[in-house]
Amino acid sequence: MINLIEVTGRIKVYFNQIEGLEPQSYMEKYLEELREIEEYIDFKGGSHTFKNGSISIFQYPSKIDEEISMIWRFSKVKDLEFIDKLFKTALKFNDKCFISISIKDNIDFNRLKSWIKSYSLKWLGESGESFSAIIDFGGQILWLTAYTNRNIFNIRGKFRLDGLKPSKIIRILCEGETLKVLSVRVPSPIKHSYIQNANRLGLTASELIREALKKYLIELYKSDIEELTKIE
Amino acid sequence: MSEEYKRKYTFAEDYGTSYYKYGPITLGETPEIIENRGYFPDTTSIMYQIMAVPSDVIVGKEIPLYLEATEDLSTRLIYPMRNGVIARDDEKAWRVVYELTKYGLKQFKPAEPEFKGFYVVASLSSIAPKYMYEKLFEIHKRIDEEEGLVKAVTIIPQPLAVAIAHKVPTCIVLESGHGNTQICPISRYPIRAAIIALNRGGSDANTLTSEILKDAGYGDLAREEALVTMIKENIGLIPRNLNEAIREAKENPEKYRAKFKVPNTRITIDLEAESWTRFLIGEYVFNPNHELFQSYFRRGMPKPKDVKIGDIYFRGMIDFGEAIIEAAERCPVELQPYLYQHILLSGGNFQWKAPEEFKPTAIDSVTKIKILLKEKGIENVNVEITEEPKYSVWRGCIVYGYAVPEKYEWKWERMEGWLKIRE
Repeated sequence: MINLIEVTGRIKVYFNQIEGLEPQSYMEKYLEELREIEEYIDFKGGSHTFKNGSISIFQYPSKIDEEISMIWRFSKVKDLEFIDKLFKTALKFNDKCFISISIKDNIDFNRLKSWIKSYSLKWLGESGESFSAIIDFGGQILWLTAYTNRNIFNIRGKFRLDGLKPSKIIRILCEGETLKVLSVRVPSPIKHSYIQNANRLGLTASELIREALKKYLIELYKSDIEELTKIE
Repeated sequence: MSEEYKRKYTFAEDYGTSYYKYGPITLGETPEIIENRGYFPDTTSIMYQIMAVPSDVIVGKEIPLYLEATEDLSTRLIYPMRNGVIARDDEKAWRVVYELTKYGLKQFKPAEPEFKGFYVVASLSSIAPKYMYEKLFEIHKRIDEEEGLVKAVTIIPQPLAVAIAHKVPTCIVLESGHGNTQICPISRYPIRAAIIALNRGGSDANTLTSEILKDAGYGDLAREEALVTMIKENIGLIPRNLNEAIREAKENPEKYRAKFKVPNTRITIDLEAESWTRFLIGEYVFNPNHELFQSYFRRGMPKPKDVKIGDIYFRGMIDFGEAIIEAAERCPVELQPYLYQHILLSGGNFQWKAPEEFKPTAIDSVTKIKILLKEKGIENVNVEITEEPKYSVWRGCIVYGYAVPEKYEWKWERMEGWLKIRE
């Protein structure tokens, strides 16, 4: 486990409405399920304390259309697996959940910025104090905001069961990761075209392929990116 | 603008008596924190002109770099919210509030081009008069004109923010900061006629700690407030019963020995035979009426006075138990039992350690309040301390900003809703 200074955040849990069930009961259901996989300590000062972190209610269950949702906030996270368990529990009730995780740590923000600039789907901009981008983490389109002078970054968006786990994402952002090889077999005319264009643009073939892949992913996740950046 | 935009750019500000806690929703559960103060450097000095100090008011973490002679500090170093109330015409204090607010908002200006200003939830003392709301709105409007940082603002009383963070609509909130304490019954909204304000907070315990240090031969260190605060937090204990705790500490001097090494220095504080005085520090916060404190008052330690600031009467010596009861009894009789069911302690002045080895002689804030109430015949109360007492107001502001619909506009008669700075 990496030694982070502080990890806090919020998780929005969605439920399909169950006839006759009181709003309070949705909270109980979530807690019951979480207790199955994480040791429960006590309820004090408005917080439910578990072995590796605490949760307290941020927004009570409310109904929008036929869907019930509620928001928990989490803090005092001792082990990142705790966030994975919050997430896993949320997905027992619906196939989506929204998480916002804020991390305070002495990480190398210059390294993070350069990594994000290269591999994000959309670079949203930077000021003297912060930078923001939209990133694809294994099919999960997430918004990252970093406050470089405060050693804090926030990552938020809809997490899915088939995407990378929150703990894995945090590790990648904090520790960095070596690039993985993706081999592609293509007919020789396309290979030739790629190399020719790469030379023309002053890029390596790998850089050009990465750029092409990024463009493809931006197109593929267009609606997710729009949803995340929607402000009306 | 949409609800999504508002939720994305909610920003909270807690103007505490000693600290200003601020930051956007993306900070998670912990705000940024700086001292709620501003320094007016001597602009006529040659050094000021040579070194080009960036502003005529300095705020934030850089203040120590600009401090000049100690004797000038009281006039140049301004803590605008020391009592929770700023006089309408106190220009210096309002100037500091403006600089602090701008400093905080600018630090978190998002980089994305879609950003059109924050939805700011500011929190003031429950005794803040209406003109303070007006002034704070004006300050945000001015900052937006200059920096484009504020889309809308709302202001809520600090105890209400605590109740919101805790999701308790009917309760009594004790918010005790550095400078003062507010005891505020809440039934959906603060019951203004029942609020009790005390002219007593963490700084008074600092004053006593300072006297104890002087008596123990550390007079040279007793003048540095930050150091005194650190010592108070590390050696101070709340006694279950002061007389018994003193007897116990005197009988077991080694067990209760108050020894503290100041980190990263060669300084070690050791109260030795006077270590029993560590219990005085905790007791003083909750009840300064014990006869032992008289000797300190006689020797010149300032006594928490009853004072009137604006229209607000601040009590000095009333103990916390009595103050809670007095506040509750100003509310309808039917409501009182419900208020006693949820007493929430918030603010840094309740953050006291009760180490296992000193139990049951030393206790925590929750137990002390229960004991003070029981002594006055109030039992079966439920007292809770907020998870992070220092940050609960800020957290409540974030919850409030997230929940209040974007279309709900500010109404002076209800004192709620968003005051739109620009469309």
